[in-house]
Amino acid sequence: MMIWHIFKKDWRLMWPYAAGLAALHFASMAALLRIGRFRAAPLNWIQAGSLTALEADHTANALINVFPILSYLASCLLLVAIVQQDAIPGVRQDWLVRPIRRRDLFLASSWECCSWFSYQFSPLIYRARCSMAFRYDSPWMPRSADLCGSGLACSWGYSHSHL
Amino acid sequence: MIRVNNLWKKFMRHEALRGLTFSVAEGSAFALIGANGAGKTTTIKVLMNIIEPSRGEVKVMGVDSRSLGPRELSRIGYVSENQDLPERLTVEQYLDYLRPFYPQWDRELEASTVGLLHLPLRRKIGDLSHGMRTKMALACALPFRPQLLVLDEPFSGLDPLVRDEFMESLIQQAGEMTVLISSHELSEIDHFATHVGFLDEGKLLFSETMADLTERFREVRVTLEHPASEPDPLPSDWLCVRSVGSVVSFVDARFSEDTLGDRIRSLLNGVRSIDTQPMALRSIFTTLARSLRDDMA
Repeated sequence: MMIWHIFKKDWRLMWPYAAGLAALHFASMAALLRIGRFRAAPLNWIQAGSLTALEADHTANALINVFPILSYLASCLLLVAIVQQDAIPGVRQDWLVRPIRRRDLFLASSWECCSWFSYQFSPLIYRARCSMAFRYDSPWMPRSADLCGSGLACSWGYSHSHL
Repeated sequence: MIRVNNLWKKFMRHEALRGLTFSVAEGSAFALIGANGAGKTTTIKVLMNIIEPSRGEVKVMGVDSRSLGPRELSRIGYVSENQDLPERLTVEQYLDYLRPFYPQWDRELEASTVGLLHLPLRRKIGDLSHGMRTKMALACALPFRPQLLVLDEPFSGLDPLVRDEFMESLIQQAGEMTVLISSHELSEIDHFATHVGFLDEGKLLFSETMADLTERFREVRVTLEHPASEPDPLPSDWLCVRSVGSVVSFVDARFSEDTLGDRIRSLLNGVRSIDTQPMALRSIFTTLARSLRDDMA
């Protein structure tokens, strides 16, 4: 079975995308920390008088709303890139003339998609659960989930780049 | 090794291949030659099961081309200028990737081929020049000692030095395998090919051994005692007939030492001398291509 072998090759190629998505998660988390989403503390730059509290709230909300969209688009891009690694249609792909079973290719791509989903979405689910459980009383749980998610994304990207 | 019988391939309304029939014997080096758009690459893609034939039978290593699987592909090397490769992998990483797919991969041969072709192992494939990429494709096709090596226009855009390196690597192993090569660079394969197939607009005009081909084509120069004029009608096997002053020159496509003199004397009066020269594959190809173009015009 060459699934693991194909998987390793694809991750070697895909790690920049993975790192990019991890950076997006980091940025999302940093934004949450900066605006104090989980507690009512005002931002320093609001205190400095550059924006009113109301304007800041709107800006922050807009910013927070942008990150999930970006993250979603980046995930879609990554999935497309994974599937396109050894695309089935076409006449120029290298795998067509190699002794590679289509089944192995399909399973490797499926595994990549599943693993990507699992490590991207599990921290988000964990964060949502924490947020619900603590009802924002304890801001550190959701933040730790964010940190966990971003750390995981980075470590995956890094480790796979060295497979 | 390869048997093609009445092969047809249609792309929408365009007939790319029209009833091709030829065979490639084991251990031979078969050169598929023809002008651009003659159907060389399409033929190779059908043989490699990259595209399906519309009609006809194609057998590669005894297996129908449509059923070529990993077992057969592990014994077939393929080099094409149009191959998509993983650009962000280094040459070394790509070789590492390919190795486990071929049980008979020879690491010593890999090292010697990489050395002979002067490949930079740590450079990314995307950063390689066109010539380097082609050499790398060859370096990936040789180490598993394929029984059949298929080369689709391997010399396109390569400088003479790279061509020499390429051919050197190829010739070192040629005795062990069957080679099918399509190329425009006929001077490169002149001494390498044992068989030649000439494709024109999807039709195979001939397929024969290199020895037979070079034996039956001769550049003939006839000097007459008076100003020359072309015979009318022209024999069908006299190609590219020209007359300048008292000299008539042509290419004889059915050369025979014994009968040439009599034939010429029956068609031309006052023959003073006849001079014949053997032709290189490149000259034969250009003669045939020019003759076909003139016929069409």
